[in-house]
Amino acid sequence: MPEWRRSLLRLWSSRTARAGALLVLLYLGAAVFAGLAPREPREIDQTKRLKPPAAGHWLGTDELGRDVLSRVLHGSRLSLLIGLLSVGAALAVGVPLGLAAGECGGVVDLVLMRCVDVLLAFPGILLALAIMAVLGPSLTNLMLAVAAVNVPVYARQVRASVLQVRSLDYVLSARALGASRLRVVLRHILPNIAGPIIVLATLGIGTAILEAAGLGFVGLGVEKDAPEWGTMLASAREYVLSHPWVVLAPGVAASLAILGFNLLGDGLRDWLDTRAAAR
Amino acid sequence: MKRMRTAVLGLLAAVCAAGCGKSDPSVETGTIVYGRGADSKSLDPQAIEDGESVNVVSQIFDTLVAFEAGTTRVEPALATSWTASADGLSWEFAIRPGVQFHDGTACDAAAIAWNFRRLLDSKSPDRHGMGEPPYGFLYEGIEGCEARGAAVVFTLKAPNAAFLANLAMFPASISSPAAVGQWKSDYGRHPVGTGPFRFGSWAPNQKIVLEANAGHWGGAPKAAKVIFAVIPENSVRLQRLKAGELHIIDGVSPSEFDGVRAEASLRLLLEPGMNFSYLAFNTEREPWNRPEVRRAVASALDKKEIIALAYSGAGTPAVNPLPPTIWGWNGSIQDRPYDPAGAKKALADLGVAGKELDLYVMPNPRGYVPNPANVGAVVKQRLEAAGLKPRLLSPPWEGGLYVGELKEGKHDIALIGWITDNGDPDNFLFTLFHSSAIPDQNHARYRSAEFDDLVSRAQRETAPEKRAELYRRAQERIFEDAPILPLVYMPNVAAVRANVEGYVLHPMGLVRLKGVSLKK
Repeated sequence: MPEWRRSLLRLWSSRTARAGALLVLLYLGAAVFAGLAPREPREIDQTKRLKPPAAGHWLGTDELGRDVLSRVLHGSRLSLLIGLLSVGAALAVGVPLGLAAGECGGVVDLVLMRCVDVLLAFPGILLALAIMAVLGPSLTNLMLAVAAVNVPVYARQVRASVLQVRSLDYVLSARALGASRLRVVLRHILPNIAGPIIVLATLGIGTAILEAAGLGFVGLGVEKDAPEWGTMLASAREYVLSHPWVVLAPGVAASLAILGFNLLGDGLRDWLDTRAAAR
Repeated sequence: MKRMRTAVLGLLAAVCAAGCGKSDPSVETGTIVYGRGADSKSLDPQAIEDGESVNVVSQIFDTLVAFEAGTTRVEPALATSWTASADGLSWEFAIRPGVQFHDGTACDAAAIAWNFRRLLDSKSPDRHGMGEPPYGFLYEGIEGCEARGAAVVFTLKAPNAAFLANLAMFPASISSPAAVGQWKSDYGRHPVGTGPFRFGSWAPNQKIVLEANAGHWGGAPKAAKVIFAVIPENSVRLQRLKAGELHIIDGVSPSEFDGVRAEASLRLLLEPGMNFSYLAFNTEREPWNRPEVRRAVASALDKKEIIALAYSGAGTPAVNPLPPTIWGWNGSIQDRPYDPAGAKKALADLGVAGKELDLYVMPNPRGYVPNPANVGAVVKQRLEAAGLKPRLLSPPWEGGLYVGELKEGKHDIALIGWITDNGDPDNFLFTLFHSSAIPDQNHARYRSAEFDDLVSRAQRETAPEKRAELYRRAQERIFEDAPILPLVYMPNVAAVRANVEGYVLHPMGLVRLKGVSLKK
């Protein structure tokens, strides 16, 4: 059996990773196939207000008679978009910053890391709230805010990893052979620190979904009628006792998605650790 | 150990006794318990502005004239009749003879004039550090007030159509000069008036107890005692009403309406209020500057659907920019029918199909709209069905941001509303649509010389019937030009025990407990 298959099998044998992967797959499936949802997520029907789950409306309807299942499915698409794009954006900015700080050291490191410290000193949700308040509520700004909150986290992690590997023999040999700084960073350092970044990004998607729902809940997310989980929770919260399905559906969906990414992230970390130990 | 057990038992017994006593206050016959969300701040009628203070003050005090049940017209109270001079600048009120304050002093013309001097004169020593009355601005047009024999005479700086209505409002309540002199800056905790109930006691943040004034000039109240109890949580208040600990509550959330309706021991009271919500078109922007486009949008919306989905079914479709509770309301105007297909076709014919627009919807509830987000969702959906492309925007209400953007004219269509201060049609029609109110409350940026002339003439007219006619014509203009689309008249709401009799909600939101009793 080739090395990579054995390695993947080991990942699969971890119960944590398996559960996480299943939840994430379920969630990805929901997002991809949201177009097949039984109803238009914004379709209002005053004759079907707050109907409990039944055939035709498997998760019931909300206070505007909209189909909760369709809204939750479309919500997964929105939250996946927010999670992936905002983590992508945070990586795109945070990784180069961390690489530069770790590799260059000196003044560059000092300046970059002090900026990161300042950003980290703010509670994430407060920073996101401030950014949203300045930029105004919209989907793009929501993703920007969530990304901005996560940039310092990635920058710091990447820098720490760079410092770990930069004085290892294989890096020193590459430098001694005359490789350019850029080449050393991109070909020798980055691939070897990818593990922790992948773990962090996986966990980060879960966090991003949570942050986006939080902003949606306080009314700074997407449009008021958008099928976004946080926004749905906010508008449904007064029905939590009388018509619980309106709150349960988006709440459980968000919890499962976040749980999935967290379990997968944990599983990946264990896997990478054991791989490192085996080496 | 034994002593300990006895103490615990004793405590339990005490708690139980207190609890049992509390659970049924109507054991004391004729006690009405009114549950509300917050305590009063003061009971000095001139020093207050919050509804919780006003609601208690309205039981303890009388005014010269009072709002009739169900309308904003005024009727005699401490004054039995009144006459105005031809120029509208001098008003003489004949004072009801023989009325006494709760402290036994006489409520005569001199005492009444004294109250208005305290209200109007910022240097009056009788204010005892109260500061400027929050609602003093309503009375700025009064030049002076003096007692002339058994009458009180007001001189005005300019004719003011809303003068009588303002005299019926709570700041014009008549206090006992002797009591104000006795309690000075503490008068707000020891109010003395002539009203149907006298002040009993006040346990801050718990309850205020009032006792019947059997000698009230209008007859004795039916209840012997009234308790205003503070229960901050809406849901807890409703629970205690269900348990029979309270008889009347306010602040019922629309989401709880169905629950109250389903309970046989309770009744939900809904009465038309003094407000309306509307969509304001930005009439300075293409294509909303064309009345035919605005009228087409009007028939794309079903107000009944909006009421069912965003008002929990409590509300009346609004036709005019003035609720029916206000005199001068034009009842002959027939609303445009809901006609989605016709609207879509009309908008296409007018060349605005596919038009993108910014639809402003405030993020939190207002007194005239309990769930703006749902109104926004419904309106957006129906405009989309009519071929438009709306985008929902909800800048924060706090800090004046929402209204600020409306004043800058950033909206295409905006959800907004109005609750009147004094129940006068001028406070709707002039305030919201006169061209001089751009960019203040005229969010539609409506300019019409003909309309301006109608409401300006109405301001100077003192004959009520002629004024009403001018306002009816002004409403026809608004309906025809459609600078706004009136949506819903939101009712005032209370829930009562089924055995409560004689409680009637007033359109002004006034609480009046004089005629209330409990059926055995």
